[in-house]
Amino acid sequence: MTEALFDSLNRIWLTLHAKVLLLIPRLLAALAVFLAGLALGALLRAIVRRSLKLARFDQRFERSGLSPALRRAGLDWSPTGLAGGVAFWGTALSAGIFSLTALEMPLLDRMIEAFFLYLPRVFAAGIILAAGVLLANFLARAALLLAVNEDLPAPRLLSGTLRLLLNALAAAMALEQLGVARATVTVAFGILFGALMLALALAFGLGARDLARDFLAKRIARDEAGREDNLRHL
Amino acid sequence: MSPDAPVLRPRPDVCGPVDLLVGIPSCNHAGTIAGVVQAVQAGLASHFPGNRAVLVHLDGGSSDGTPEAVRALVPEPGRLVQAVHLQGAPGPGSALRALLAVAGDLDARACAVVGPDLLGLRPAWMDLLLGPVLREGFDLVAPLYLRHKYDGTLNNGIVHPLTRSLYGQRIRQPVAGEFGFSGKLARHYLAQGVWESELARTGIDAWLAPTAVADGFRACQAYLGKRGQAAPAAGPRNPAPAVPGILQQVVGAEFDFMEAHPGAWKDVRGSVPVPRFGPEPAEAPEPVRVDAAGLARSFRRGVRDLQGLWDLVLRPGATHELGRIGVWDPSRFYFPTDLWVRVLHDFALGWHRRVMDRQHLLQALTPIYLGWVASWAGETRQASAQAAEELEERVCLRFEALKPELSGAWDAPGEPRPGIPLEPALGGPEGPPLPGTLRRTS
Repeated sequence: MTEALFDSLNRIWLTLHAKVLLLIPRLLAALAVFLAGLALGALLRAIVRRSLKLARFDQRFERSGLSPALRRAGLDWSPTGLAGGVAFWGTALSAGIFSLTALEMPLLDRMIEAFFLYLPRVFAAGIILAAGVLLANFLARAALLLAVNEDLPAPRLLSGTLRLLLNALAAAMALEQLGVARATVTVAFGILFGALMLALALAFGLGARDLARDFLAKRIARDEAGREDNLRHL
Repeated sequence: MSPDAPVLRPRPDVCGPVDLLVGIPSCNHAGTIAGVVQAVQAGLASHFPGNRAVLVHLDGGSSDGTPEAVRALVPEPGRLVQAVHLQGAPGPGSALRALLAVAGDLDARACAVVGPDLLGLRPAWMDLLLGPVLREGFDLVAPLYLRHKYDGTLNNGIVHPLTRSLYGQRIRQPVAGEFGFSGKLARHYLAQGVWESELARTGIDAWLAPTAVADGFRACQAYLGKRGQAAPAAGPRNPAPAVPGILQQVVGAEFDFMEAHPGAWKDVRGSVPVPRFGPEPAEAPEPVRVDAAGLARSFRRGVRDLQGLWDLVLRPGATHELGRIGVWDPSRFYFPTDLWVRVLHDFALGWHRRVMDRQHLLQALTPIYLGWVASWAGETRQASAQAAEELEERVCLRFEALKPELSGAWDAPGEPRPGIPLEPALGGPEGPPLPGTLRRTS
């Protein structure tokens, strides 16, 4: 009985020992790949930062309106720093994943495969989000200028609302692309958009009747006054 | 001429060379064009009886019988070249391009363009627009209209002083509907690569004078008197552009030219007078009413809502100064000239550096321009025409004095421009001048 027990324990120990002996070189290889990835990431980050600084990337982003949009979103990073960070962490993450393959564990391999299949969706979602933010900024600026030059009420509110809606739309589309709670996001956005429009309609139709009347009265009065003004600009 | 120029050639019975060519672009101007054609014919007959002249009528697709009205007035063969439904991009550029092509084909020595809606066109205008080219050898004849001090504020505040300071030639009205030019200049215009651009569709009028003076052609001016223009024809083909649209057409064209030809203006300093022809009119211009308070309100709306955008364009301190003058009492509203000049220079730099979409840029300039107009109206309220001209001269001198800042910053992207110096008069104990008083601008 005792002998059988020891024999069994011995076999387990030998198996474990063999597996550990097999795992150690893999672990070391994985660690080496990961450290090499970190070093490569740091190098890439330095190159990206240097190149973008030479190309005046931060100034261009500031002018495009994307930097203010990122600041409003709480991301108070310089675009150059952000791009450098993406280069570093992207490389580090890739190196980490590759290092896991060195362990030759079937479960990890399946997870890695799933991750790489998911990457195109992440990429597409990022592009949708960036394009949406850029478009939202452009249209919000156009709305602001139009409202100021046409003497429409509350230009910044109008512009800000437009920006918010377009950013929300871009975010909803990006989340849908990622497959995150697809139905929930679509329905939530529909409800939010509909509720906002209904609220605006009610506010203007019921709560702001006087404001609407005053606005139209002023507009008509201004148009009539404008006929008295025969200024020619050119 | 580029290969895709509009297909427009004179009828076989009109053969070159001709001495004089007068072009009239039109679109639904049946009500006024007869008077214009008759005055042109009378002017050519009385002032140039021995010269061969041809009238070129370019119609953009009138539906009110304008082409037929012109044909009825010019029945003699060989005196009229007519093209209807101009090809290419619609707008003044296509008509002018076609006119230049005809001028080249007929080898015209002197050419003139007149508007189809003029009420004040006199036969003597033909002598004034064509004579300096034919007899004195000038290449461009810019008009000098008799205008009220509030008439043409964009010309007074931007086009005239900016063009003068950039190219060093004192042309009082560089953008005009009527002008004369030589055959040599016509060929030069036609050879430029602008005819398929957005500029040709909207802002070609503002491109003509800078191109001529920057490329060394001889310019002069002619006193034409009151212009007198009929109310614009109604309809979707003739929408009256709002102020941002006018800025887009005129100031955008100026900025475009600056960007395309930096060598033509960067090193020019000071300015020289441009010869004037014709008797200076003694009559009074028609009065123009201006709602200065409304203009100042437009400026304040900009101060309230656009400071964030202005910060992207203007040098440090400028937005702050605009905010300071924005809070002044409307009756004491005053826009310092140096601030105005620097703001305009910064917008030119913003155009050059593409700090934002260019249409947005000029829309952002609109409230500032209206603020300057309000200030101009207040400053000249009680001023005579002569005093207003003196004030305009001072504005021009400040444009010239501050031009080195613009030239220096043009090729130095990202270099910090000098900030706006704090002037004691701005918000200080002295405060802005009272309305109706003239104030030194330096």
